[in-house]
Amino acid sequence: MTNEAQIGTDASGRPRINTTGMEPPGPFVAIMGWIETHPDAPEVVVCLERDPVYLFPELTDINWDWDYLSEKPGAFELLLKRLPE
Amino acid sequence: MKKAPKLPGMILMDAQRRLLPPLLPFLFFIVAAVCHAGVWLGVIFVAEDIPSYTGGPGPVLAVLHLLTLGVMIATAIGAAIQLLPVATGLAHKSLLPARLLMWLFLPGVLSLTSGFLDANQFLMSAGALFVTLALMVFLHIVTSMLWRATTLKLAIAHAWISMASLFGLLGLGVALVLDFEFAWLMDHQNTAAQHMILAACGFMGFLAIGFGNILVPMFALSQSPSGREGWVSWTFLVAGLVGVLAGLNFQLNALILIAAVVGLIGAALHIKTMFWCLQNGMRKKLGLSFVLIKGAWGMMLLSIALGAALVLDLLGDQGPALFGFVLLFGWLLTYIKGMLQRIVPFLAAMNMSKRNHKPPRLSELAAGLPLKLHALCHALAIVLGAASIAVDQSVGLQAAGVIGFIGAASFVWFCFSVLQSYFSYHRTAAQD
Repeated sequence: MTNEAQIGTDASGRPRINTTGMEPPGPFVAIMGWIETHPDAPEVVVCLERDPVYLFPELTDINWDWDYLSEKPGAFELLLKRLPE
Repeated sequence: MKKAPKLPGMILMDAQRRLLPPLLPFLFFIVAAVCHAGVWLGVIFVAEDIPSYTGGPGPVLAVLHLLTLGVMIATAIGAAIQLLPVATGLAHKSLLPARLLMWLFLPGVLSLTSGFLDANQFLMSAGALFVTLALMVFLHIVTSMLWRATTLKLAIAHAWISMASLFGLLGLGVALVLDFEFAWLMDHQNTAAQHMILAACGFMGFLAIGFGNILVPMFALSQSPSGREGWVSWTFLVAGLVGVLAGLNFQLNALILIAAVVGLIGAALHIKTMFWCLQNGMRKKLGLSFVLIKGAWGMMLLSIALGAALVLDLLGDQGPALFGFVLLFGWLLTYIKGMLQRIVPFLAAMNMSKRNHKPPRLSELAAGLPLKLHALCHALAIVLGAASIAVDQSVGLQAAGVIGFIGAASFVWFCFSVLQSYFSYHRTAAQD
């Protein structure tokens, strides 16, 4: 287990947060915290071990949307996007 | 908006295995909200008997169990059966036990509280049987998940103590009910005190603190607090609980006092870690729910201090009732209501994010007014209720009951408005 999310960029240059190996609520905190501290970021790719059903209500609340990029058991990749106001 | 996953079966299977049919946990939350109103209504009618209450069947015991079973344990069941799978990433092996739980628990609570109200031995025994069976099923659901969990060690350790306490309190509860008929216990009041400590501090207290270790950092967007401090707090709390039970069992007041101080240190350490989360979290505006939660933390410390004062015989004739009120209404009920107002819309929204239809915002799920009204009335009712018990004023306690009832009715309004949004979302989504 790790306490830190791996933050970098993907092949297309989009910011990418890898939360693999983090204990709950670490992935939630890392992703929502990144969004909160990057108020101008239009999108971010996130990698998780579980389908983040707990994330969707909070994303909706701050006017963000999500698309599944890839999904395998134990490895989910989503693109989170800020919606226009 | 979300596109349909490329392998929809895989994603939805994973999510749905962990998300129960939403009405299952919601039923327990609705029961809790309605019983909450019933409890305050009960306080109005038994206000004269509460300050001097020290035990035994009758309306006060009925109201007490409507609170502990109908509100607290119903909330614990609703939260645990849904949040544990989400937090641990483990699925329920089968939904049958969770469904069975509902059918055993509700008639059990009804029968037991009616039995206490009328001092009817048959209803008390039948209720105790149903409630015990229901909570054994609950114990099975939770422990089967705790066995398999490989993460969240601190929260899981709290949950184990909670489940061990549940096992103990059920055994003592059955013994107490049978004692009304057979008079076989050597000291009924002492056993009742151990039953209450196991229920309030062991079962509910450890569950609340364990969930707090996950939910508070999540709501505040904070890193998890220091694991070392968390484990020190857990150790002190376990030592405090064991010490109080041993002290009661062997009637050693000095041991109870030492255990209370140890428990107080453990509780203070836990609160310190929670405040660290709030101070270091990225989200500072946590709303009304955290006003209640912070108040509840204060009441947790106060209740332990009052417990120690009770042992020292400093609280007079109203001591047992005052201690019980601050512990159950001040600490646990306030904490539960603070958490529930976050969890109920959150769980509803989680179940509104699966279709190709935009879910409403959390803030749009329910009106804000009922929560404001509830918080104001709840705080007033707790302060007025505790003060009235302390000075043995039943009129003040009746007023607290009326105010508390208005607050509880507002909370029912809040829960139904969330449900209304939930059904309206699914109706609209089905039409699109």
